[in-house]
Amino acid sequence: MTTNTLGKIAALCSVVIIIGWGIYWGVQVQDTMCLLEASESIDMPECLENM
Amino acid sequence: MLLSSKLIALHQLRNISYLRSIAPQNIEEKTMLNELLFKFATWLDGFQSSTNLHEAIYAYGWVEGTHVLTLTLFLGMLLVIDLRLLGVAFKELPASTLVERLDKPMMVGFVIMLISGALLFYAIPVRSTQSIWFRVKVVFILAAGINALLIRNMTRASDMSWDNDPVPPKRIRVGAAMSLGLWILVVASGRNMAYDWWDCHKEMPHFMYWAAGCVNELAAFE
Amino acid sequence: MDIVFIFEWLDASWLSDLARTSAGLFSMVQAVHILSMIMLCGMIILGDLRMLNVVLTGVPSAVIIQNTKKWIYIGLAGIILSGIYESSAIAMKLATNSFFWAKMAGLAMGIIFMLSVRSAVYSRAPEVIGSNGSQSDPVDAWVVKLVAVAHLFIWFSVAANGRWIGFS
Repeated sequence: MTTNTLGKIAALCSVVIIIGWGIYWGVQVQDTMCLLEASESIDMPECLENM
Repeated sequence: MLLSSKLIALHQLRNISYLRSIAPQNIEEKTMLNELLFKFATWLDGFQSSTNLHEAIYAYGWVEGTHVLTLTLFLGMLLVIDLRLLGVAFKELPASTLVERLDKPMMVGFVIMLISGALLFYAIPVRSTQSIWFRVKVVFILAAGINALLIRNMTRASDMSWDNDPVPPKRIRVGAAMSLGLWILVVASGRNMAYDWWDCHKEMPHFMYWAAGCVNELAAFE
Repeated sequence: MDIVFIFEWLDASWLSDLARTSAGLFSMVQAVHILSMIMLCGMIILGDLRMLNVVLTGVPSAVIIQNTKKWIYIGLAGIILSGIYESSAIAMKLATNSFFWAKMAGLAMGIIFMLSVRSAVYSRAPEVIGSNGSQSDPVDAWVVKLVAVAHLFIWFSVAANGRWIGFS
């Protein structure tokens, strides 16, 4: 494999991983905040329906 | 119900005289320290923020997660240094390069561990104070600290003529092995804090009540 | 593909019996799991921070990456073996635990990414990062750093999801 091709593949894989990581942990934090809200309120918050 | 079963257990233990015989001679002094620690823990426990942190569904988990994950930075860098001082890895590099330049990331990890560890203690002060595993852990941490100081003094006292040697002198290797061994024990005893095998409400030898600082149970013996 | 049978098999195995009945041994295996994680992630952090020029800048990166390899493999073997033992105790619970599957996916991705892309890119690091002497055909410095960040992110997820299994 030429260095140029390797560089492109590596950059692409890394960007996909970093974006995927951001989405995954973004959803985790969102879910956590939602569960936290649910634990503090009597009514069921809207966000629970989307989980 | 729980209290009565506790007292029955204590009563049974009181009848086993040989258990008392293994208690230390200067038990009164040691018990005083236990009482002081217990008072301190109870005082901390009185703060609303301590209860809040303990009962917070996620905050406690995040703090504990940070404490465990930071191990990889703090003990990870320490492992690299110790493996070099043992002469089993990174032999091409001067020992002083790793010791001096990995010190900063290691200490960053240590400070985070110390802060998150203090918060974990603050969230559950009484049980932690009366945990035999926590006490053992603190002793091992102190021993590891003294060991680290001894290694530093040894390296400073030497002319560092061995700096580029693949395998450092024996005394340095012994120090590095001690360091790894002690930190392994710290991690293992920290992990065992989650178990209640030797919590104060359990039936156990008198010595263990003293060692864990179960002041109420000890008072019931008097 | 339905792989629940693996968990059912593990759940009914002698390993599961042992894990459930010997609490002392179980806690020791848990400690081995954490210690293996420290070895694996510690060496990974060292290599990746070096390639980001955060630690040991100027020290030839090839020497560092080469030295970390053996310990990464020992750490991996440690976490996998102790992990199988630990999981046997709660196999059926894990089969439906999303954090467990996230951890397994991260572990697989981490191993593949480390052995393929990371390894190839780090061995062709430019002089400005590698300090291994000038290379005839190096990868761009920003690509090396991007790979380092992505790799750190994957293993962070593996460790964090692992810790969270305990809370879920």
